[in-house]
Amino acid sequence: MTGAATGTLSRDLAAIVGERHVITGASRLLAYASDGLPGHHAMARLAVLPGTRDELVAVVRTLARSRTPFVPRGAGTGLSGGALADDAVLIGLNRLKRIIQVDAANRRALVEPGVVNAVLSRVVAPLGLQYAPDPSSQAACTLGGNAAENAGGPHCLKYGVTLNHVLEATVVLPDGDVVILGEADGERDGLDLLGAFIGSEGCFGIALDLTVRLVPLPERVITQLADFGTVGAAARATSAIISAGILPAALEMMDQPTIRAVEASIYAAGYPVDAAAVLLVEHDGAAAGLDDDARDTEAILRAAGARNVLTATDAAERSRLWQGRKKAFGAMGRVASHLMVQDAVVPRTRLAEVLEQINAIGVAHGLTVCNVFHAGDGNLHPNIPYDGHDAAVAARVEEACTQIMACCIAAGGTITGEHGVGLDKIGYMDALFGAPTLDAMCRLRGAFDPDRRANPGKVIPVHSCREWTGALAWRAVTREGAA
Amino acid sequence: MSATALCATSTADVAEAVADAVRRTAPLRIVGARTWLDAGRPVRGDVTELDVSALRGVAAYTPGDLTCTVGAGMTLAELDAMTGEHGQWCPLLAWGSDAGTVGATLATATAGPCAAALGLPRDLALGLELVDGRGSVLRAGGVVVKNVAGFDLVRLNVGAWGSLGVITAASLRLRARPSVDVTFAFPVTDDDASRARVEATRIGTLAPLALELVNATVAAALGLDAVPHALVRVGGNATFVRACESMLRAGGGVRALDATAWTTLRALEPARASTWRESVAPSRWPSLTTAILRAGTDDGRAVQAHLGVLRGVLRVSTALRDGDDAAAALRVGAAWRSTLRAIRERPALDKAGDDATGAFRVNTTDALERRVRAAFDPAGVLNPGILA
Repeated sequence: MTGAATGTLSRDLAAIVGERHVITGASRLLAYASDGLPGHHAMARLAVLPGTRDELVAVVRTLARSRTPFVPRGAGTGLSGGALADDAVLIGLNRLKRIIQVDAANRRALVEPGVVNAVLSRVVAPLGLQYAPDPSSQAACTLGGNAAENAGGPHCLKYGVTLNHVLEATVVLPDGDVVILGEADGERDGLDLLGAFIGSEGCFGIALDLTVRLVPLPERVITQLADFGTVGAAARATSAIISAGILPAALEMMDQPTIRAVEASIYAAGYPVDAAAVLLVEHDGAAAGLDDDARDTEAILRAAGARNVLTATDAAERSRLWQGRKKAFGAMGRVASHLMVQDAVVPRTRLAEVLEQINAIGVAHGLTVCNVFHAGDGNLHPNIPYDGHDAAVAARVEEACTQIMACCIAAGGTITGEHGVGLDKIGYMDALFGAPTLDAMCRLRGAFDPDRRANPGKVIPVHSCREWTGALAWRAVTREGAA
Repeated sequence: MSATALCATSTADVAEAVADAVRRTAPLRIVGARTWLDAGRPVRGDVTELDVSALRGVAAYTPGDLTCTVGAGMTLAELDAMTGEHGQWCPLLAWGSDAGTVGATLATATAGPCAAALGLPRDLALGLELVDGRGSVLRAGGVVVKNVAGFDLVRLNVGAWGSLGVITAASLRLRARPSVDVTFAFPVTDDDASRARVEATRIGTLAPLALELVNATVAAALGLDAVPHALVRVGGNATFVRACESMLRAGGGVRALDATAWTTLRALEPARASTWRESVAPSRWPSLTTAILRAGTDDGRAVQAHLGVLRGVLRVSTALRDGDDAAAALRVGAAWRSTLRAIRERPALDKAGDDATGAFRVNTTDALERRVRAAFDPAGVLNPGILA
């Protein structure tokens, strides 16, 4: 886009949102140049921050008229490089943070996309309700971003992921058309376009508002910490608990490198540093019968080889046990200047062997892999602290990640369970899906966004799209216009 | 109706049939167990039936993972028997007979009385193999319980009635069957005390697997006294279920039912019936109770009515007689339809825009749906008209 065209667009957008909410200039745009995953950087042409849903619609329509590519962005906590705008317009949604209505009788809330995940739970707690999906970044991440990524979290084992908690979305499509997807009031006939929209990583449009499900706060919560002499025993215990018909609210695993990073940090939770792995198991719900689940779980844990099982029922003790898990990523920040956060899923029964293979990949590349993950879902997070300033080390990390993904795919798994594809995983899509399926995904994207202007270059490799017109075509058009 | 039928025995057969249909611009009607063939929206044109009921093999079942991959033609009964051997189930528990197939249940997104607690079809489908309207074999989703890789072709095809692709196999999420699974019934009347009791069950700590209000006709078919009843299904460990039972029995008039009552209820609708479905926000279920409880006969025919309180979904069904045509079916349901539409008012949540500029006017999804259908079935050969 030429400087003159950018200036015109900037003025048009300022007329909608006010000058102070249009951000230009490299130094001010630097704040939007990356997300929660270091390693990917891109500079937006400009950023625009609408303050109301009507302003957002007007912004998208203005961009549609000039056929300008755009990237929606929530809090920028994503872990796939998905909210990076490479010479496109970045639409920041943080000002759209109203909780429009809480309908306690129907356990749902109507929210704008910039509402912070944890804020919604805090606001509805006095009504005895909570918003269940709880990504680790919940103190900062937004519900719009959660919907775009189909975010998960530890308690999604029992309660389900974001997809299961969004009933309806009002969406502005890339061409500026506004539609309602889904149905807040029960069943709806027709295609499940809401199901397609959730997790579409900003490629299908932008949610103006979301109607989300709320669930009752549990009557009682029991948290257990079991430590194991081998990772394999912890993995087998995970499978045994789920197979026994017990559905904990959360079932998390941390391996020894993670435990040691946590215990060496200000987030120390009292985990045994000589353990090869610990499992954090939480049961919640009606008080009646919960002790039975905890008792049965403890028996399974011990039978699987747990050395100790600690049970916490009071809030302070539970909070201490969770602190280490929730802050594990922060603790890893002390280990090295950079952290590669990975995300993959394998069948639960393959956890032990896959973890062994991941460890071997780390050793072969001279890297330490810290595993902290949602074991109950088989959702791995192999994390690699490294010095990103050393190009040779960074290359080894890249190679190790490629091998880890290949190993998860070979085990019948997938390349991402909750972080999304974005830029980071786009290179693995060919290994997971065949050409016809990738082409079908491109066609679906084309139905929502015929010009392919929304979050261009993400999710599906360009070469997979037989009918791709994309950002290159847009640039050709704008060059023509400028001439 | 079709003059010919193609019986696919493999995914390749399906792909070939679709490719051939595209070449000939000859639409296909996809059929499974033929338990629910048109839902009032017949497929248009001179169609050839494509029967996928023979695709019923088990590609994978790992009890430890609580997942399985089966052919679309496997019946719900076969799936239940297979998983039941390991104390598991795929709780689709859809309305209709268990002779219905996995593929049809997913294609029609038919939920059942336990959907609020145990998941809708979209929640239980992890992956699909399907043949799109170009004859391409797509493999969407996977076999793991969390998966956000790529755009969600699974959710898109669950409930698409085969209009985007022919489902040939499905990977399903399974659950362990509750160690104790019991059902209680108590009579309800059209008064505040009854409504308060049902509401307490809906929002209380009981967390039932299902809560269904049934009219007298349905109650009688389930072996209960011929008066309206509430059916409550609770499942979990023995201590939890005991606590639930004691809470329910405190209200009086409670009778335990065999779990087969739900199988009976799900399959109760006559094969030829005029059936209407309506849904409201769950808290508004009391607005439907008068209609349900008083439902008796329509034009001399018995009316079955039941309301899933947890999701606010009402189904009303009246048997058709031999000789009844489409016009008769509409006539039988006309009174119900107008009652139900009157009850369903504007949504409780106000989505008005922020100002009066009109920028926030909402359009229908018709154009978007047309584009999606064209993207997957450009020649319009897959069940044309079934979603119209």
